[in-house]
Amino acid sequence: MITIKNLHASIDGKEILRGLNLTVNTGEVHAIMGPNGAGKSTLASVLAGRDAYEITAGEVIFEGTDLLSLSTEDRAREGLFLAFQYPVEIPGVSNVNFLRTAINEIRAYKGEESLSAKDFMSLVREKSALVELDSKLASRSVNEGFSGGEKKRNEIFQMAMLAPKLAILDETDSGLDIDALRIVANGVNQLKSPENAAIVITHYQRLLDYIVPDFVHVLYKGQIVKTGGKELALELEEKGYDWIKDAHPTV
Amino acid sequence: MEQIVAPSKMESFRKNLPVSLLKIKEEDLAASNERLHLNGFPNSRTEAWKYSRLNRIASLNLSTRSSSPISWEHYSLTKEAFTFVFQNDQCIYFSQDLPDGIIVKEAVNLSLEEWKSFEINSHVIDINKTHAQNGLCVWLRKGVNLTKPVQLIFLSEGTEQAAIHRNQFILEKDSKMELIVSHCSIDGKKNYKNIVSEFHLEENSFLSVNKIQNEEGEDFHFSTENIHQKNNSNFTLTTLTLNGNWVRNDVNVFVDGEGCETFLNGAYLSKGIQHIDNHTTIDHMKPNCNSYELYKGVMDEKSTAVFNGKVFVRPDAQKIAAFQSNANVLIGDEASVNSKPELEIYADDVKCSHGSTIGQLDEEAIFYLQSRGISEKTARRLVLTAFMQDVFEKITSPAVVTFLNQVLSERFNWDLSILQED
Repeated sequence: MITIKNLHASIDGKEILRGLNLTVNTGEVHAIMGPNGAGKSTLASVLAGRDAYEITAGEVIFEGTDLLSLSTEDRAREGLFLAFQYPVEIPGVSNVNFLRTAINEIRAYKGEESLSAKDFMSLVREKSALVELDSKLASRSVNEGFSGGEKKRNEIFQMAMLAPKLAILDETDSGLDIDALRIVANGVNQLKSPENAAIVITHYQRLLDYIVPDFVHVLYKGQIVKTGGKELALELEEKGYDWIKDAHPTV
Repeated sequence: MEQIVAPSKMESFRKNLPVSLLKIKEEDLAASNERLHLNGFPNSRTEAWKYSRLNRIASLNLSTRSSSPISWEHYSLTKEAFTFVFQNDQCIYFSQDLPDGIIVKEAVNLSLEEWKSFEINSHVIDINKTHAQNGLCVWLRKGVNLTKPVQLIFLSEGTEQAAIHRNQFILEKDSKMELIVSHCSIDGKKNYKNIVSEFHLEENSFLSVNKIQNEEGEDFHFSTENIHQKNNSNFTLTTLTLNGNWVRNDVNVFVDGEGCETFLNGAYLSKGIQHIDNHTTIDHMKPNCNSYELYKGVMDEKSTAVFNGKVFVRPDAQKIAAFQSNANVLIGDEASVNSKPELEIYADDVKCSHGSTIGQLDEEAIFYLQSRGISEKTARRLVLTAFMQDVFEKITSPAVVTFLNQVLSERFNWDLSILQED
């Protein structure tokens, strides 16, 4: 699905990613953990195409395409989805109109016909139920006045609507209470299929009780320094990140 | 650098302008002439003109010449209206099929007694008083509810032509009407338009004005609206400035009755080197009234805008609720805006607020939309349209909404339908 080779990225001249390698196959869930400042959110931003970052070396092949040569919107149209750590409020743009615009631009890109208003609305009803999102929120302005939990559920709702091949969840668990966490995780699990994949970026092991990863990677100083199964997350939870830092002082 | 325009500039500016064809009291005419002679054009030390330099206007070499009437139908926003058309200084179309209860005259046909007046002066009003060529005067009789709007079209064409008009609207008790004022031009080159419109709303009358400024080319446009409101009257003015080289709007509302509502809305969209200046004053003279003011603008390229909104609440005008908001988005790197809200409150039991914002397009919002598969162009359009939407929603006339959609799509490549629910 996606192969990241020797990825180097910097912002304002400061190198954040320093030779990151990662391969994710269809049907897999990968967790990326790491201490603050390791480059977790930078990885998510670089993959989504945020232009504040400069790619200085490396490549990313997504479904056979050179991902880094695509615009942000074309990455989304090719099936990449980023659930934002801090979803943006957009006053005056309603959630449903924004999503209908997005879905129809994606369909046009693929040479498909627009979704009818009726089909679109039934999709909205189906997918908002998945994350227990009040249908009233769907017609409100994007994220405006939403609580932290509602914003994160709205991210998963959008993910459900757009049905991406690869979903990247950037600290989706941050700021969520246990009920909201369960709802969000439940939504993600229901969307899992043998044809898609997910990268779950998180600081804490907590989320991984609900979204069980196939692989856990530890990101430290812009590189993946350790990879293991789901038990690695538990080990990190127990021991913290210091033993990783001590083992890689020169990275 | 400050430059003082000497009074003699005013004399040379006025030298080829014909004298007013409208009836005016001798002493009023003399007073206007004297003020113009003594004060000349305001310079940048005059607060109200600080950001709108008049040098380019002062050096115009204006005249009025008769030209053959052009076909105006293309510029009409709707056939479902009582339509009156002025081309430069001439009235070229005067609707005949008027119902009972409405009296319409060309301004040149008004007797001295039929003119009402306002105690307000400016060099723009003084030029208008001394050189007005015509205009439209409407009386709506007591209790009349006009089912079709009145449409007033001001076309300008030619080079350095002056179009100076004075309009008067009187709405008697319990009457109601809608007015559409449309300003446009045909290859106008440095034309000067000075339109003063005065509105007298008597008790319990209702007037909604949708004003569209869409002049192409290099015209200079001055609009002055003076409004006098009596008890329980309701006045709305929505100004849409969609084009125009240099545009100045002065709106002065005297809320001289209780139970009144006043709505001033403005949308201005500019690019190139356009300059758009909105000055408004709402004077709450009596208690128990509400006023709402919402002006929003998007400035692209090197265009400039000015907003100055004053709200006065006089000592005995208790229980006033006055809300004013001005918001601006600069999308051009060299665009600029000067926004100045002013509140002067002399009563103690009032609810007033004002707010002014100047910002740029939220790039994080654009990125968010793009990350969902929306093109950058659509994303920008979506965010800008959403920003302007609450002003656009104030437009009461479907014909004006249709026209706005057309101009937005042709001139700005916007699409309002993007925000509409099915």
